[in-house]
Amino acid sequence: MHLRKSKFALLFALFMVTALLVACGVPVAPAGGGAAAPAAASGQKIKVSYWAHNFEPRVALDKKYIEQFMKDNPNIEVDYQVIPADFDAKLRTALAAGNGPDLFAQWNGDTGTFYAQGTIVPVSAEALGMGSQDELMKLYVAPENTLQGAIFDGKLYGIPNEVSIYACYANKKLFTEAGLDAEKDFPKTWEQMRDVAEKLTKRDAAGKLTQQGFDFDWGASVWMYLEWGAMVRQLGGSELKLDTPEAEKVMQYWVDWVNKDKLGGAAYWTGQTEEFIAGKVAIKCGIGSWGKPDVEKAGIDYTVQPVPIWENAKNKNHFDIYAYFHMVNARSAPEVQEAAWKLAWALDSHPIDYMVNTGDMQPQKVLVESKEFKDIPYMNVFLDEMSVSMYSPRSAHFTEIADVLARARDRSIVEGVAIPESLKTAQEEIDKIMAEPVKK
Amino acid sequence: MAEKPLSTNSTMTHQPARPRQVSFGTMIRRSLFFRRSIYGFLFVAPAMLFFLIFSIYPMVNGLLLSVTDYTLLKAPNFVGMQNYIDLLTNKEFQNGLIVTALFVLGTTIPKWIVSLGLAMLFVREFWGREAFKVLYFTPTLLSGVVVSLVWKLLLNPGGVMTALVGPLVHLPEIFWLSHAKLTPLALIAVDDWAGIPFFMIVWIAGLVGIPREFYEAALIDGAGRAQIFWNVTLPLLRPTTMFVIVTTTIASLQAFSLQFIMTKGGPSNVTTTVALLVYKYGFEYFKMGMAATMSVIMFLFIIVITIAQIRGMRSDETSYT
Repeated sequence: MHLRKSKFALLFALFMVTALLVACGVPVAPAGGGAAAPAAASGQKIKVSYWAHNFEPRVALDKKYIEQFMKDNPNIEVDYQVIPADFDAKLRTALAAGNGPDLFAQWNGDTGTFYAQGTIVPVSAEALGMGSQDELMKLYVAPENTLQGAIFDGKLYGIPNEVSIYACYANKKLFTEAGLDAEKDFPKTWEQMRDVAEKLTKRDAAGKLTQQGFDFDWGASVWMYLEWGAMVRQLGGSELKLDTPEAEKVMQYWVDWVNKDKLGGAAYWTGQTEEFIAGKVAIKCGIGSWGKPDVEKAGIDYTVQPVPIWENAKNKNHFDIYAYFHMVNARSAPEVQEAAWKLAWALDSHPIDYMVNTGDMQPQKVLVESKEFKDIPYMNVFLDEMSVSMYSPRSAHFTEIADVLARARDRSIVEGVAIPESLKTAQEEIDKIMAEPVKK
Repeated sequence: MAEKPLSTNSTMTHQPARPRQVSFGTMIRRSLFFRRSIYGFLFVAPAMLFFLIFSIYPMVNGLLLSVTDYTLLKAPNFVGMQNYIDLLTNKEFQNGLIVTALFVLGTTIPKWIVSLGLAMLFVREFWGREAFKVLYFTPTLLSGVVVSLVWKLLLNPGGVMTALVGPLVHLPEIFWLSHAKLTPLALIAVDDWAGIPFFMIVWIAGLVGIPREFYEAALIDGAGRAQIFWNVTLPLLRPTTMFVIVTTTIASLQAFSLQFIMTKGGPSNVTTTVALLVYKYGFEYFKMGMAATMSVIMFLFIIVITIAQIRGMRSDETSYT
């Protein structure tokens, strides 16, 4: 009898604890405010939590300007946290749990989802001490291009702390060894790229690749999105419309690159800059201005050239622009949001310092007109590309679509599926994804 | 004559029964919390609490999420069985089930057989046995992440494995991790390499527990080596066999780290297991409701398979007597 009672008690305790935990509910914070501390009473400090991904040169500058910001705004206390690894998942999980930061710097692949889910709020020009959003936008070079990644329904939802675009880094030594000049002989078109890459490619007696001329980025699917999608758009097509001659032409080029011309492929890819720094690839077009310090540190004699475009290109869009934007949590209290925007601008209003010390570009007019900017070699290449290129389509399904494109690519390259058939399957998948209702 | 009352105790018939006076201290002592069993209860309480918070709660919460459209960023709405219905036509999930099933086949049966074979080898006395045992056991000490990173380097098209195997198949480069058929096999081989040594030790523990008298009796009866293995060793290893079969199957059904680190599920989803798909849907696509649904389905699969395995192994209980 005692045993039965004990068992019952144990089961009852288990049930109660489970019920209590379940009653706590699905881990979602209240819809309207609450991530940050409640409104500070008069005399109390406003606390702003700020998360950023780890990039050591930038972190040092961030700390310097945050310290200055707190001196200038004694009523605001900043809790700055650098997330050492896996920033995306940690930020998403924290936002889900309702304890996300008040201010965070995240890349534009997530801005579509954040906007669609009501996670972020529009920039407060007032908090920045400006009369309007236009006043802020006018400070930037080609704002319709460079800020496009955070504009939804005409409203700006983020201030860029780093706008990037890939350009082509070319190893002068490897060009010379192939009897080429890295500046003069650099391919201007994708058609030329194939021939130049072949000349720069080295194979051993058995046919094994020992040096690549050029290769695309085969890592995360989102990198393919930035490169493959832009190549389709150069021809006047769209990466969301795949049953078109433009999409087929670009996919054929990628498939031939691996299977017919045997110039590269996913098997050789180890990182965005690794092969170039190791001198194993002569041209790398997946590196932004942020890569210059590492390339220079490796002692590579290099030049930076624009990403090629097709011979019959309908527009000059190079690879896609991408950016990290400072965004403010919609769940934070209004006064915390205002303080967060102030902090964001305190960090983003020193574009020259950030450019010189980190290589991160905040494309403001004050930067591009500065002597410091003009003195840095090749920065004009990145800036010129930025002024004619676009962001990838802003969507609440960015990564999912990127995965669809990567699967289509792999089906044809790896499994040998005919390109029209593979693209048709991908189109069906994209149509299904885009038809899904987006919660608001 | 008046009928006598059945009871002769007049006090009981005329006075109302008084409630027994029980002191507060007695009540406490008699209550559940001061019975003997409470000590055991207290000893298991920390572990039980841990289990409740980190196992039961996520499971129950996952079950609740599976009937919502939770996106991580907004409050979930109840959608009934819609996620389950959608999964029926979800080609990625169907592919994930096939990939997982093949991975389970490739990483369980070889593990059982090879680890048992090695255990039978190492249970015998021979020169350098302990040293070899340590050498074979080393991969078990490495974390899944380290194993994945090391093998990713070794399986480079021009890497060590190609240098070893390439001359045999007359290929200068082998695309171990970017070939539709080779890549799943490569991951299976890596998982087997990392897992076999552990189960070898488990089998050895089982083998040394079998009394020598059984073997002596079998030898006296004129049994050969094969007969002894099938009729003595294997039946007496039944509890160990059950442990090995169940744990390898469950671990393989949950395969994630190798696929996540070495291939990200590619190429062309040929290594996208259900566990990897759950991660993608939950943390990359912001479809946590659907991810939870996949988890629940997978959980049910694991439960059914495990129960079937345990029942199958229990059908003929082993006894040394």
